[in-house]
Amino acid sequence: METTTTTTTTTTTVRLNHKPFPLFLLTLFLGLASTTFSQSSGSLRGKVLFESHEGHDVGPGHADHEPEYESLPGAYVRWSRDASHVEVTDGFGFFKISGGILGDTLLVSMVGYQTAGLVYTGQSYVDIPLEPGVELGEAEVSAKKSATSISLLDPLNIQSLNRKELAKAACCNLSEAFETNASVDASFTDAVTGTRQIRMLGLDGKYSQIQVDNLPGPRGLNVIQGLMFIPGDWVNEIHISKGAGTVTQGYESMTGQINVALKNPETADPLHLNIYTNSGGRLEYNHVSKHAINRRWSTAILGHALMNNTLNDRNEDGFLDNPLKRNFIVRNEWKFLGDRGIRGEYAVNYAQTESAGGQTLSFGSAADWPAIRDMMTTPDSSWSAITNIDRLEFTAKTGFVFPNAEWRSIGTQWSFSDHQHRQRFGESRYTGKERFFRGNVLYSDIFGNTNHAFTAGMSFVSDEFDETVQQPDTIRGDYDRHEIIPGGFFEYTWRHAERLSVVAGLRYDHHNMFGGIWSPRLHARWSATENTSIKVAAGRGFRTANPFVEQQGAWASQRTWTGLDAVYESLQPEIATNVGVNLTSKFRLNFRDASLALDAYSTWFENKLVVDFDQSVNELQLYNLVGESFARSLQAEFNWDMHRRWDMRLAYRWVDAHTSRMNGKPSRDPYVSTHRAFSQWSYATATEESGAQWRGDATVQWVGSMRLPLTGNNPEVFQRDEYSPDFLQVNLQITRQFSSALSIYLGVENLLNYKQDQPIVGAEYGDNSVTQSEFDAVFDASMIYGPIFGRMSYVGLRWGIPSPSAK
Amino acid sequence: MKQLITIAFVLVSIVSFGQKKAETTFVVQGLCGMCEERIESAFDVPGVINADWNVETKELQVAYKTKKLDENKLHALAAAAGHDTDQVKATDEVYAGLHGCCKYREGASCGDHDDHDHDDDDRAPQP
Repeated sequence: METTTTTTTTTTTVRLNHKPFPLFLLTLFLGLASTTFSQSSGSLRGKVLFESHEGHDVGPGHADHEPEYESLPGAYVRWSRDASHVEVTDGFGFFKISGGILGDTLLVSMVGYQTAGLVYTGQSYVDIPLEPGVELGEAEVSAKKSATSISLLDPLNIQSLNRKELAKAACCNLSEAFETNASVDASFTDAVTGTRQIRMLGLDGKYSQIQVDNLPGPRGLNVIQGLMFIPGDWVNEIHISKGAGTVTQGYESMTGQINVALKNPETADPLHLNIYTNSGGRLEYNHVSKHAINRRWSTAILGHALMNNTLNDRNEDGFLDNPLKRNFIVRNEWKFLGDRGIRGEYAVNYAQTESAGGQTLSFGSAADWPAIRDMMTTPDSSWSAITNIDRLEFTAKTGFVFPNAEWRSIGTQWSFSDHQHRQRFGESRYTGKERFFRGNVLYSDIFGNTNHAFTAGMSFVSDEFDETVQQPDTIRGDYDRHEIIPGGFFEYTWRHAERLSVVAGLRYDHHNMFGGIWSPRLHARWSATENTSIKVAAGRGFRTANPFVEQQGAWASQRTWTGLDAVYESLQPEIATNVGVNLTSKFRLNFRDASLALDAYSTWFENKLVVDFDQSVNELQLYNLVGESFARSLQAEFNWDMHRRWDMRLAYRWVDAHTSRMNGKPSRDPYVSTHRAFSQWSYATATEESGAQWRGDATVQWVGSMRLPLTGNNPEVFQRDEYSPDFLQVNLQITRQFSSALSIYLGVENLLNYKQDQPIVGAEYGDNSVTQSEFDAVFDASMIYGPIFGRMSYVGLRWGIPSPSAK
Repeated sequence: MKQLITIAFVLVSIVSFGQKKAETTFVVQGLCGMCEERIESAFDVPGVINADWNVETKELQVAYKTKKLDENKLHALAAAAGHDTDQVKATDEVYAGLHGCCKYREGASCGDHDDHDHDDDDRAPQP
């Protein structure tokens, strides 16, 4: 029974997640429903329920909790005197039975449950809980599932990473979660702030659409730092979709979509705690808990605190290797599971981060946060970088699936965020405020049968920016804008005989600054054989650039921003088209499951805001694309469940990304490695009865050479090679699972202790001394291609009350 | 990197391709996902390359090394875990220890058997 229910719930989740529904309409529907039902006299309607396991297993301390009930579809309902008239409960556990006579007994039965009898006294509605008839123990089904999976049936090329995969490298937040993934590259923006950015298909993460629970995630001014606001321990699954993706979620996706499914009142364990510390001095605490309020409402509380008060300067260049940090993030999610297919998810998220980096002289011998906060406004004589971000976010999703027509649904999604970013890097200051609102209404239905399904809807976006930039005695600018974008979309899904499915979508958005823009998207899947599928994708997307936050690294240099006024006077959208093809094949190798996925994608820009580091070492030039810009990528990934204890993965990806730069400067995009390969090996002992297990994971990654911005104008000692050296990075982690509740993990990142040589241009390395005027003329901490800190070990502990259904 | 990959492949080949292997399929009595887990973990022993029990057909597919195991031993492994095969029956003591819902001889039922691999169903939530 447990299994059936879980399956049903999961399917419903998937279906409903994105088809929310407005509460006011909901009331209307309920009203209509009750009117309809009360018309037939002598009939009884009601709902059959069962007590779900969550209710029992919250722990002894929660004995007074109201048990949690779930609807029971497929139960038989009949009057005791009339065995010929039997009703069956619908998908939501509801039934309606006529012919009731006062005093009759209503019998409700279901395989695996004790039959319940209820005397009819003229009630119009009853809730009938069934007691399990056959005892189900704590042992649950756990089909051996690989940690990453690619579906052969989905027309979209989506790779899913589950908790098991995410636990292989105890990543601290989303920006670090892609270490074991071939599709996404992660690198530092600069040597000062410790900020990581991602790249997909050879293009910056800003060209992918990152979503959290299918709602807008890191974007706008939060596009880079937002990844750090998603702690790894909060994440339930990550879905990486290559190609433009669906039109129902907006116009911003070009290279792909990354949807992060956070733990929620449904998927979270009752309690999960994590502490982590590393040799860089970072200390982290994560908390996830869920609480059932009543039969319909449940809530989850997610908390994260990060602290780094340790001053590290291992390469003795006078700069901190890792920034000092204080981050606090809290999230509260509410889930409503109503009768008759109504479902809602509501969340509030607050993040506050403080970070300080730069020359060690600025910080004395210990982190003194009140003094650091003062440094935001009053810099001292050495170079420091202070960043402060406050962000508040509200989201609401409500969905309604029509009873007896599970293919028909209405949903609404609302997001609101208020983002404030303040920073001072040396003498340069930046303040950015963004107020974002988005509403999305979706209606899904079918044409005739479920082989022809469609989703249509409308969206409204209001995005208000207020940015102020100040650079020493040269530039001071206020850049405000208010984007208002109403849009509409239609997406048609056609399935043909299991072999073929096509998702064709079109959306039109009317942008108040750019006018109307069409975004067509097409995805198709053809199953050549049962185990091999070919997918093609094509699509167009657009976005507005926010260079001040997107070029986070440039602030950590003496470069001045040029071309700003020209760009902002007639702001243009970045528009790109992406096409791609994927072949996924699953087969058996040495009697064990294996898969091979081959990808080829190409993206080209109609317009792009070019950020040019090559014109001068003292400038960062911005201009709209003249000429061409494209990125091509090829990828091969081989996964093999090679032994009962061993899993392995080999992956290689090739990228060729170019952008025309003015004055004949090199077109190859900087910081993009043409070749990258990695191999991952996982070992796990057999799980003992108690849940105890040892696991080991090793990742070997080879990052090829990248082009670096030209430094030929610098004095020779401050010049850098045009191409970075390639390097190897090895990560190891050992996890000891003591029981399903407790585990400890211990790991080493960058085992070979590879460090980028002389990462900061203008810092003192070895014996060379740098005068203040030299420093002012050449300083650049953004020329980062590899690790700065070197070998880093970490240890962490996870403890919690596991869900009865997860093992 | 190239050397690394080569070394890896050589190691893999030595470990897994050096011995004689066979694959066989036979019926093992059982009922549900819990049974599946119990049966498959009973075959988590040296010599077994892969074991996959199908809850619907009751068929167990086992790949094994012929040097270490033979069909009789495979049947015995299932029986030792409490699950009858057409050749070897589980002892009453072991059978009695099975969970209530797995008592296949009495025709117990775990209700639904719909717990096979859902890999291809759980697509990323589509908006």
